[in-house]
Amino acid sequence: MTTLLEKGRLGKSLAEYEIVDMHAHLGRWSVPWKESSAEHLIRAMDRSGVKTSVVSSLECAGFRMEACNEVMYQATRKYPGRLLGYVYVWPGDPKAVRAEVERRLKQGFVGVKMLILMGYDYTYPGYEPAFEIGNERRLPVLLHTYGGQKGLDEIPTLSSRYKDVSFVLAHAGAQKVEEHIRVANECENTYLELCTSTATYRAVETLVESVPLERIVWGADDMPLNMSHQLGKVLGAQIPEEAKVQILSTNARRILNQSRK
Amino acid sequence: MIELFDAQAGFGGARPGQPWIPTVEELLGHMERLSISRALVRTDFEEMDGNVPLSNRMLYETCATHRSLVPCPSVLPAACGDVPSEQEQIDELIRNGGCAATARPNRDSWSIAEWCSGKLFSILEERRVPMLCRQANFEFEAIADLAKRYPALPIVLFQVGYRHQRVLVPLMKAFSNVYLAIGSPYSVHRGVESMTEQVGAERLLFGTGFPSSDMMPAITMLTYAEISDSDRRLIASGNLDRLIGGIRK
Repeated sequence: MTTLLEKGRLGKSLAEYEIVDMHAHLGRWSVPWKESSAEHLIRAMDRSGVKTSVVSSLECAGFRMEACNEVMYQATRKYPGRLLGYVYVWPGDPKAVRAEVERRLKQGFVGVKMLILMGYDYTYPGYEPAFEIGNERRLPVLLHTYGGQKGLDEIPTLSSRYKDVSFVLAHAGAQKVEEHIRVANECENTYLELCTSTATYRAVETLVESVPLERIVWGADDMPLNMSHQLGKVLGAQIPEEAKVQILSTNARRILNQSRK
Repeated sequence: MIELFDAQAGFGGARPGQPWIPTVEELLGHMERLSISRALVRTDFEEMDGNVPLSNRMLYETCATHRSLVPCPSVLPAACGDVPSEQEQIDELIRNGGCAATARPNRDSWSIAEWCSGKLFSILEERRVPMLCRQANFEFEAIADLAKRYPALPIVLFQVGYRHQRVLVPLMKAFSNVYLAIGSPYSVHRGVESMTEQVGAERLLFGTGFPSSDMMPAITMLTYAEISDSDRRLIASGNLDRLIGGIRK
């Protein structure tokens, strides 16, 4: 049997594993490309056989919340089953946040995305409606939590307040891996997501050794990062074959399937 | 299976406060596991590498016992007399099987200005020795300046971040002697495809980024790239072999 590592080394399709990318983006930012971002992302997914990507706006422009989410909506309609949407929220107006999250969930969005780089702590009151709805619906909430930056320290508070939210902590293992491990072990409803351009040496092995395997999920952060590059850290990790499949597919499916309609 | 020649790897260095010193055995173990046939190697991590002659000697000795490793020593301007002359450094590099040189002006506290390091660059250019430049050691404008002043000097940029495309593309279009090693953290959405289209596959070199990074991500970025197999072979090993073949010994 060909292993996942061998398939990656040979550039063979991974479609049989029904891989789910829990961290993807559409839109424009500092990395330039010419064509529509949805088509670009689908092409990147097709190269290796990634089945599904959960997308949110790339543009770091949450103040255009509705416009950003509309791009996701149109893309998910065009590529049903391949692209799923996170509702991107800008916490300036709690009423608008509640209305936008409710509206987009009715359209089929599957979770919520927040970005600390917008300048608001995750405990900022404007985010509360999104967390409340996420808690009621048992949704995944994807949070940018780069090691060494703000955001991660607020997770224990939020985790205990919203026990039915699945907190997906992006960029685990990029740096200060011990911080993500500490939070994951303290908070049972957290999931560590692996994307980072640095592909920090042995980060995946360290996380697998330190937190329950069912709490690690894969994301590519494509765009702007490279999906095939991000796959490599799991395909090449010195962990059991079954663990790779769990990280690339099973764990994410369980999170997405537990949502309440 | 496509042959891989890693242009962006190293071992034997250290970082402050980090107990792990990556060994040649670890590098070789991963190369074997991932079917990487050869690697151009530097002393890495470089943060605490303050004794270039000693590091180079250890690098040469290690590479002499492992045929899959090709030394890429550090070079320095010699005006202060604390290191051998520029000519002697390059002669030593060639004599020990070196196939590229590493320039670390920030790390080693020198200037790329003509009055400081012109002799060093001139000899590297004259011998066509590829010069590896970690992006953190150079402003892009400095790379452009060097590429213009020494048009026959192959300059290989490595450890380039994903946010630099708007600078990297025009830089490489403007200067045909600038090359890019695609190892981590160069994780750019369809970056290999984009650079192949815009500057040509012959300007890209496979690299991994070990020991800072896992080696496999750079491999899958190449094996899954939407490019022709001939371009893939160029990037995987052909381009580095061509540059090395151009060295005037």
